[in-house]
Amino acid sequence: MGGLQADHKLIRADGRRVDGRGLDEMRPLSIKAGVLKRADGSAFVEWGGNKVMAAVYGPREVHPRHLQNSMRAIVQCRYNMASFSVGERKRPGPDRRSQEISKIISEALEAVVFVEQFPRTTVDVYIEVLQADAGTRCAGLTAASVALADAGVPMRDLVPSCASGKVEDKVVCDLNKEEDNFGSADVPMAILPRTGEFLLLQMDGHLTYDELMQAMEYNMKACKRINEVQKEALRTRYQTSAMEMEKEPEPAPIASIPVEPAANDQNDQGGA
Amino acid sequence: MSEEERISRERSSPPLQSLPPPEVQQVENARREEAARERARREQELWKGRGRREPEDRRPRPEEPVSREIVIPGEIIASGRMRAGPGTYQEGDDIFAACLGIKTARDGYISVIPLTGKYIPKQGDVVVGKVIEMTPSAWVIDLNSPYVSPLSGAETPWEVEFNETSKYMVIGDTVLIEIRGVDSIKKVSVTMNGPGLRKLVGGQTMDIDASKVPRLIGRGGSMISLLKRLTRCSMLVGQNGRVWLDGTVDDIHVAMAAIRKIESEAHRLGLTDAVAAFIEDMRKELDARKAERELTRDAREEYAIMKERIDKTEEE
Repeated sequence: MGGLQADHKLIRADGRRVDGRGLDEMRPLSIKAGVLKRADGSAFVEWGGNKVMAAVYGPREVHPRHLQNSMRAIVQCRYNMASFSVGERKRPGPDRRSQEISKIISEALEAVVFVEQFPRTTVDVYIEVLQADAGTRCAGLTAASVALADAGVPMRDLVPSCASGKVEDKVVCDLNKEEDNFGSADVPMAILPRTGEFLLLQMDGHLTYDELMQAMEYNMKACKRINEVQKEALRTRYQTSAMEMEKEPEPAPIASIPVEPAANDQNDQGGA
Repeated sequence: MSEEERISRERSSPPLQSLPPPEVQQVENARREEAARERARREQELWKGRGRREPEDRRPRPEEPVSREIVIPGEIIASGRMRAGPGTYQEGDDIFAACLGIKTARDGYISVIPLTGKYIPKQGDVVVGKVIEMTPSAWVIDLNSPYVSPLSGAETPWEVEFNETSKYMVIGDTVLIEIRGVDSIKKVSVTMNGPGLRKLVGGQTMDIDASKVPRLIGRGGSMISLLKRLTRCSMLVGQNGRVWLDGTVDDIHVAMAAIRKIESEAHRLGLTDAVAAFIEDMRKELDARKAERELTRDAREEYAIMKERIDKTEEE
């Protein structure tokens, strides 16, 4: 039901998945905060085969002016996939899919940022997917919330996000590319880890009620773990000195330039 | 050819005696220090008897937190008797961190001092602004913040006629102003009428993170006075994270590097000593580089003279 037909089994005979994971296991995740010097806040997420960069600017003035809200800040997100992020070259520029993702991420983030503290401003979030391997909206949202915290934007909580789905009639946690392409359902979800409230819940494909509950259960557990990684990323950011980022190549020492007879010496000669 | 090579090789490691003699360096340093003292004295006089201290000394600074515990948005930081201060939010009896920062508790209030963040104007702040636009009766001032503010002619010490704002200030000028008020939708009004508030002539500005301003000033102004003394620059630090500096090119270069160091290592303990050492090192390096440059020039000149002489003898 749904999805393309895979030419090989997505769940192996021993009950494990194509990449050897168990049904409830997520892919390895690492997050680094403060990776970009020019942005107010930034984060880089490597999650399985995903490589996602997020940069935050703001709060800053809203342009064009008609978008500004005199009572609160707006959160504007742009999700973009690099043309080289997928196997077949992706046509660059916003398309239907990336506009949708930009919108849902903006809305999820707007719900956690204390927007009423910064009337008439915008918080701009740029998400660049450098390498895609399924679940990029979740990776993007995870990265964006770390970048927001890194920018010092007041917010209720960090936003972990994860997608589970159905593959060969089995509900599995954190789909990878193959499972996403050939599986039959995909449920991305983002929560407020402190309260367990939902910030994002989508479903692509068909699931029974029990399957959906199972997928959400997996997501919930994964999000808690993702949240720990996010916190750790922000802590280590300030434990390792920020100086490393600031370092620029030293100017070449002047003494190393040999004093060769230059062209103007010959001119002097001519003068004499 | 071989002669040339020999000379050039000799010159690339020039003899030490052509360094400027140490007495000369000493005199030079003493002269510069004297000039810096004079500048500081004049600045002090400017502030004297005006009923206010220098802008950066005016507001009570947050005390250095004892615990230095870094908290993350959403983290629970207190429950029960404490009250929620800035950088936190409350839900039920529990208080949570609202931003990435350092947890501090004082006077029954628990708050989070942010590690980064934009400057949000607050009444009474003295800030360094920049003129970004002019209207017939006012200037628009950039405050290094999401919010800009108009500075009307009436709020300046000058009698500004309609349509004559450009006679006094133009786009790009720097001003020391005070935030007169901020309303509920963050419309900011500023004034240049007040002791010490003025148009800043000359010098340079640099922007730092506004949350690092207390660190740059230091407790009781310790860090800023150290910077001023060691870099021999005049400095004004606005609460908005914009710093105005004036001095010689080298001094400003050193001061800016030191300020960047303070900004990036603001969360470190014992920063004042580290900065003093940093400035000293940088000065040494700069002096050495300068000496080397002189040497290279001397060597070039000597070489030219020598060559002239050789050529002459060859001609003869």
